[in-house]
Amino acid sequence: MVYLIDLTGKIVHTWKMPHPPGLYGYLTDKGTLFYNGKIPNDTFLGKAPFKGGAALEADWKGNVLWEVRHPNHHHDGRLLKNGNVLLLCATELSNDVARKVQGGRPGTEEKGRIWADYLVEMTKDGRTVWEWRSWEHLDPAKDVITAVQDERSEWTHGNAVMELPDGNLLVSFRKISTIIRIERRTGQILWKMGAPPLSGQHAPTPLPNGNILIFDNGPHRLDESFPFSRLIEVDSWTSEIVWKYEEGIRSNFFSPRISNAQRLPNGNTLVNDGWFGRFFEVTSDGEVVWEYVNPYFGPASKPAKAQNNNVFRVYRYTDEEIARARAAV
Amino acid sequence: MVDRLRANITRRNFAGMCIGVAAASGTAFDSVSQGRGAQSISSSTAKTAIDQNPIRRRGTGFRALDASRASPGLTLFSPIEG
Repeated sequence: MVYLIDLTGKIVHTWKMPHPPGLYGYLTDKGTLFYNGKIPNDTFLGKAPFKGGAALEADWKGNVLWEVRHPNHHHDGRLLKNGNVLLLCATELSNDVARKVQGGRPGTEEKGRIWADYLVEMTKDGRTVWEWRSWEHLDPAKDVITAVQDERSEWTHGNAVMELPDGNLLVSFRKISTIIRIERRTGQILWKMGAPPLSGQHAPTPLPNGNILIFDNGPHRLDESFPFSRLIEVDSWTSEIVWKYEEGIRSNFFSPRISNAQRLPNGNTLVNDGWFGRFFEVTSDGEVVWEYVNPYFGPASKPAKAQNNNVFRVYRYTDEEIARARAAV
Repeated sequence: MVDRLRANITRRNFAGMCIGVAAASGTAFDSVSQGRGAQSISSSTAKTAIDQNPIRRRGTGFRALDASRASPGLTLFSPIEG
């Protein structure tokens, strides 16, 4: 289910989707709902909580306009400006590459294998027209798994892909705490930001001023003793941090996984403290002006302590954007 | 005012408040807390009216709004658990 709520928490609209979230949806520029759905399978990836499997577009009433499927899709998929679909996918590395992967706990590979990410561009009728493979552009000996205690079942663990206004791509990898900009035409990496300062980050988002807003989760920082989350706005060429938000007592804001942030039209920033399903809005000087906690915890058949209200992404839409969504077909 | 409120909360009232909270939150329970220190991992053996989910216990749904400073619009999200 996809929910749309007003500032008082009242549900204004819902979309009932044919698949559970794998892992989220958003409104496209023309107002339709683009949704990543989950279709599990029997592989390591297929059983993972971050599995995807389907990407679709739906109208305001929830009618599915088209759907593509890919067994290796996970975390993220986006509708491209050319009308195709970009999917974040993962597969097993060859043994030659896998044996070069550094970092993490030895012996925690998945049945001796290590998975890594690749990107797939598909047409809406399911034809693959472009691929980009992380192992052809990143170095397993230098782009190391950041946390020494992390498992080695995956090398990169991509968690976001985003098309930039110039058509190039931003990709985020949690395990190696790295964000890259890929030149679409050549596949070359034009810019890279790693750890430190990044730590298990999510959802790099381009801003109108050219900077990038990042939810920097911070589970295992290389330059700080304690884990804490923060938002950082960085210059997309120099990697300089030009704005940040963190709590006065840093541990009061800590989402070890998932989460995102969005710069709003009035200059405030919407924050998804996703591990705890807490959404809040802060001004540029860090004052909280709105807060809501996701009340949906999934099946009541699970023990109360095992129920969670995780949310991968949250987005705020203006009245104009909602009017467009109501009219979209 | 606070002292008067505190004085009005007797042990009997407190037990009643626990039941009220449980009823309001829709929590199923067989009996109110018997004051046992040990807690079960599984809710199926819960002996307290208190919700064992810490996030829900702290409160969910709408929490706060400064309407003059919040950015207007609607917020979209998809709970991972549905």
